[in-house]
Amino acid sequence: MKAKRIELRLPAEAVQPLLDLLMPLAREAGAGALASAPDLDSIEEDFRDQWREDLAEHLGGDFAQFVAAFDTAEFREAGVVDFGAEDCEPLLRAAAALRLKLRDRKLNAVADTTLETGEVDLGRLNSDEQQAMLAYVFLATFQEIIIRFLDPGAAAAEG
Amino acid sequence: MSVASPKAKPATRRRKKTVPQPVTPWRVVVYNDPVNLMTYVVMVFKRVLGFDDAKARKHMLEVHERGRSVVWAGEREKAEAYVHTLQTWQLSAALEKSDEGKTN
Repeated sequence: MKAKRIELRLPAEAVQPLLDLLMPLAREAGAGALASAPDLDSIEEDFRDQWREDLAEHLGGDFAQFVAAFDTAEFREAGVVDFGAEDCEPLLRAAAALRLKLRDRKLNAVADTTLETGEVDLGRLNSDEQQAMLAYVFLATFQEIIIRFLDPGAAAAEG
Repeated sequence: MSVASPKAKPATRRRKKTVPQPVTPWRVVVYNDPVNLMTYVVMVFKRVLGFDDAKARKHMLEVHERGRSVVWAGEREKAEAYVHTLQTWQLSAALEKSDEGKTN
């Protein structure tokens, strides 16, 4: 039986500038690459470094999947992103981590309530923030597509 | 509660055998964040904690509206493993002793 796959056709000329912003974030490595500081207050001190290293290693694997999905000749030439069902979870996690990084590094002037509702007046942002916001929204759309693929019933119930 | 087994957490697996800890229930708490999509949080709860759709949505809404939700309670090592897995999914999850006076 053929494994299920997702094939997205994206306007490469519109998405590539967003990836130019996202790829360096996805290529960061080590504990410093974590998207946010984990709450380890109740974790025994002896295990905290190991815990962070495990998270960073996990995230590195997710980011590698993200880079592999977009850093292809097929995407650059035709805007096609193709991946299997087994890649969905790492790609979802990578997109979540990248959104967190964008918020912390590029969109810290944007109110959390604005990020949460998505009702952003791009005209009030500078050009760097505009690009970051477009990348932020792109990643959300990317996640929604994957979630719909994994769980069509849940997506339908969401309206 | 029927739950999926969390993936083993290396840090926990390497824990040294010490004095047995009291059987204090520990809580896995998920906090609100403005970044993760509601649909994403629901999906993570279903996949990681084995919730059905209704339960996953209930906890997601609790996180969204009250700022936090206790999504699991029980022995420490399993709670740690859930926290670790939820953190790999980029949720703001933490371990909490159940005697800290919080009810949800």
